[in-house]
Amino acid sequence: MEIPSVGTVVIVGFGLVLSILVLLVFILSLQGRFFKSVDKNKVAKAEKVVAKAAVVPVPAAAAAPAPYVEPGIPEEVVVAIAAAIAAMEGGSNYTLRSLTRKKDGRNPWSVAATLSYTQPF
Amino acid sequence: MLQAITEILSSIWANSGFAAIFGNFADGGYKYLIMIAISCVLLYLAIVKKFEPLLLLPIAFGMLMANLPWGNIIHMDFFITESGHPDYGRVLLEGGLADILYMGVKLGVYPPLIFLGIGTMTDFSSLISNPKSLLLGAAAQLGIFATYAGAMGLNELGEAWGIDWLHFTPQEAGSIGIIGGADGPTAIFVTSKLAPHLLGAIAVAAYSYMALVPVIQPPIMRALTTKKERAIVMQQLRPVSKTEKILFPIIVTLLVCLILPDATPLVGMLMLGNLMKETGVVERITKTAGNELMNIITIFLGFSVGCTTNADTFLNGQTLLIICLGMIAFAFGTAGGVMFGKLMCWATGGKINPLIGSAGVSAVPMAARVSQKVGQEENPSNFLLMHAMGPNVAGVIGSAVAAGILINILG
Repeated sequence: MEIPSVGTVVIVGFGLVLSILVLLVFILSLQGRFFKSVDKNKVAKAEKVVAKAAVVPVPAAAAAPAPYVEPGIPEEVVVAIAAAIAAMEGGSNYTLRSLTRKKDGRNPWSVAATLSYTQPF
Repeated sequence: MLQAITEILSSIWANSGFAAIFGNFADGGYKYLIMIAISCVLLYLAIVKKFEPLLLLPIAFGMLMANLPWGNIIHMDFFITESGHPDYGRVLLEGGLADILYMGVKLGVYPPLIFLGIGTMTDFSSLISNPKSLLLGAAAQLGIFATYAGAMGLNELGEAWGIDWLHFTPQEAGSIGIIGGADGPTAIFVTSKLAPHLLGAIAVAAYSYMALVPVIQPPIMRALTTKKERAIVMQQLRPVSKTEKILFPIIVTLLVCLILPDATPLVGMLMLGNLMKETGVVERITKTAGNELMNIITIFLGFSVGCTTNADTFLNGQTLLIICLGMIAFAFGTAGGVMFGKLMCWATGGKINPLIGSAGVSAVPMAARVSQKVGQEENPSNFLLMHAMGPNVAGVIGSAVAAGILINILG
């Protein structure tokens, strides 16, 4: 086969690289959407199970006033922070009055996770 | 007796490398010294400056051994024959260590095996989670084709000025262009198929520039982006499930290799290595492919490629041109990625930091680290590394695809 002109090689070559990778983008995006919807369904099912379990009444603790918790902070996080403070203070000699998010900057947990991922490089 | 001793000593001297160098110093002997000096410089860069030492060190030492007079470490005349096909009979009957090892390069065996090892060490999660980064990997291949056009354009200058060495065949131009892929095994694979006589020069240029990525890329990245663009913080990537990671190598192999069978050895082996890693069911062979096998192949590849660099093929104007064109290929590749990153930044309303585009030239993970470093200069709390790994590994796929295209069109 005769070798095509320089312009043809450049246009066909670069165009083909771009086209093949665009096709891959399309397929991977479809795959991503599919798996996202699967994950969503799984989460919805899990939430339903949790909601059913929560119907059983739990007697409230008598003395300690409930701390102010900023909306959006999950209960698990409140419990984990309270437990961490208790562990650091060495027992029950503390009161958790409020729990609010730090207003600016990145989430320190996210920064810590990113650092642990990026440090090997 | 004294005469016999003198005769033996003078015979040893006459057959020594020193006699070959200094006996015919003006008539080519000086070339040995130049090549030995070049190999020593490369050894210095590998050992002291840590420039891709895993490959540059065996390449440099192979170069040193191949340029010791009478060493006959390799016989390139067995491989580059008038018929165009290597004389395998002579290689097996008369060849030595470097001849046998070089067969792995000539037959295109080593680069795919290195890709197998790379596959076992590569995490494609960032690419799967943000598939658009594949486009940056494609855009960064601009350097390959721009340099091909540039090398072919030089032919006209060579004709106009009457300079013989200012001339490249399309196959040579394609092999030079692939340096812009910033992927050593791919460059060696393409060159061994298209222009084996340039293998030494192209391997040295490719690995040297890959080591110089932190020097070459940042000025281009800064010149093409604004301070505001460089400071963009990108959204966190979504987590990717194991099923997606397992499906990815199968999908890529099917798609790329069906469209472009010439890319099968590189892409297929890369994806096999990755599939072995992600499934987790073949841990033993995954470890072997990523460690022992890859290390052995690295020694074989580096040493045998280094052995191909003799004074006659290396010390000429073309080698200098190849080194210059390699730099242009890298610069264009980086610029292509960054410019496409700017386009994506504009199209997404400022959600993509264009700096990650430069990582599309492969050179994993060095190019991604450069994106991270330049990004952090503007915004110290910005972590671009994981985002840049997407285009970075996409660049590996992109350069393998470009290699397949060049072999298909020019081979």
